[in-house]
Amino acid sequence: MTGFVPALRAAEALDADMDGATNLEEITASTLPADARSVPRITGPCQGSNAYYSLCQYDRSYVFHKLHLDFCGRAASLEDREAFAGLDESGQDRAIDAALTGCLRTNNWIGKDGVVWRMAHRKVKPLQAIKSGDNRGVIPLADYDDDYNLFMFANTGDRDVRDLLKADYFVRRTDGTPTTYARVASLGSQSIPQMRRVGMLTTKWFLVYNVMFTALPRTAAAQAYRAYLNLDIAKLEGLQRVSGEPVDYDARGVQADACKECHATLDPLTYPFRNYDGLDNQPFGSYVDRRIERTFSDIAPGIGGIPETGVVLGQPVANLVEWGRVAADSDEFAKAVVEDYWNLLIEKRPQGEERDEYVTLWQALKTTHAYHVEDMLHALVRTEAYGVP
Amino acid sequence: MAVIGCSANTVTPSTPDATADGPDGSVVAHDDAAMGGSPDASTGNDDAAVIVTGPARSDKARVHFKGQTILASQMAQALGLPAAQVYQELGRYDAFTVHRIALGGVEPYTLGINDPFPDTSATGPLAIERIALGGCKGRVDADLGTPASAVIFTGIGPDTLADINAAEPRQAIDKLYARFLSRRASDAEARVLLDLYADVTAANEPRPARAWAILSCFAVATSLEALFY
Repeated sequence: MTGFVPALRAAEALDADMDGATNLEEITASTLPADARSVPRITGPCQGSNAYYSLCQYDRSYVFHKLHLDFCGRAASLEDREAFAGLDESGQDRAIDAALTGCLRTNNWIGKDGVVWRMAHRKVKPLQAIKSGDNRGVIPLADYDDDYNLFMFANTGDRDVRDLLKADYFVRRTDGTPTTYARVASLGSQSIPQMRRVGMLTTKWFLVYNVMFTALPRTAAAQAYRAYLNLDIAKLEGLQRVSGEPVDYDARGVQADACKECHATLDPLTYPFRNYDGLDNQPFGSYVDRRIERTFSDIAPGIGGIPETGVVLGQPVANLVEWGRVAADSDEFAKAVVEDYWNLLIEKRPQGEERDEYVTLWQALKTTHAYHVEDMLHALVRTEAYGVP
Repeated sequence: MAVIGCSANTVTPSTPDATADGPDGSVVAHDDAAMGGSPDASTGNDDAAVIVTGPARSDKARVHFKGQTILASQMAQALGLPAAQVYQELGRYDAFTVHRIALGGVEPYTLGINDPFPDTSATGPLAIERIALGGCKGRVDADLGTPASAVIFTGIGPDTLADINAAEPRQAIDKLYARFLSRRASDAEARVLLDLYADVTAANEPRPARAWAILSCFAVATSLEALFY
């Protein structure tokens, strides 16, 4: 490590991707110093006139137009825009809030295959061929509609978005105008007992798809880390080495030099999944006490030593339920939730001065907004990142 | 017509993940008068020494392509047609579904495409123009064929226009702007579309009124302002 800091300092003034911005400028602006297509946005003193929108400040007409497209999926009518233009500032602020509230109730936002539903695709990772329930596939194994329904429920209304990782219930959807979501204690399509449920991480679909036949389901833990904390271990994100790890209980060779840097985080992240079954026991996707000992004892001599305790974000946890609680209460979770909506509504990555507004949003999600996504969205449309043309 | 490309003289570079079209997130300077901008704007491109007047440009230039779902909704609403009937490939298949991926949509259940492609596909512009042209033809033919229930092109005969400067053509233009762009056309913008009629008749189009209506609709429906926000 002695040469690392001087090496970084020496590289600060260089331009690795030769895009005109130094490495330090790129890192400060949260753009990619090794990608010439990623360049800090050049903003100087605001100048120039525009008959349509104000380029130098938050423009309410611009926001009114934009939020209709983002949230309602269609532009406001000419009549509505002209009526809006006739209001004073406070009236326009109220109109923006009212429009947003209305749009958040449309099926474009909350319906099946709507905006929020589509955000869940990379987290749920559906595969129709093995879907059960409605529109079942050729080999029905689990119904991912249950996952989408829970995702929708936690991200809408006055619900706590942390239920993505804390919920011990399920959700039933009723399609209509608008679509509605209702909490239910159990579903016939699910197998995990209530005391073992961890929101999106213990649905039958998640376990069938990500645990499958694996003794120590590292894929499941990595997907949970990536999907709900926006930390991708494959990209060396979120690495927090645990002393003495990896033990390599399942003799997969993860103690090799090329492997241990990631597995020192990934393996203890995975241990709490040890009793959550994928496809090895009936019913699929169930909690099996001493699952490793019963099903995988012949894989490696020490495999029965896999604990149920683990470590997530540097904190020891006793089991997966605690894993979910620690993750849900973390700053990383709040950042990930806000970043998902920032990516959707503004751009891929909060940059430069706009990062301050991003930080304010995720911190407020944890406090002022009590983890209510819709309250956060009302604040998001008030940011300059969203509202300055 | 909206052309996706770049002009080094007029664009602000952005990140590769920017939602503006084009690999470098840039948009070509266009004829603002035709596209709905200031009547004083002039056209620019890489090959000419250009001074772009008209509306000042935003430093952020953060532009989003509306994409499959918004465009489907917008086209349906603007043309007064059911979404699945705006345009149908082979006369049977909803074009917005057929060209879903090219238009920035996703198909996670069978194709595993969970996120829109970050860059414009080669067929994206072709798809949107095809849909717009087909949808406009459908609207125009319905309005001209059943004048009593016309939605946009009211009081316009199917063959020739007695007077392009009469009230009805301007009203049709106003409706196009209101329905597609949610604003009023300026006199200069309307003039450009009205002047298009002379080009149509000069091309010996057998039914110039119909052709003019379709092309006017197409021009507004495929403008930058209609496709991006």
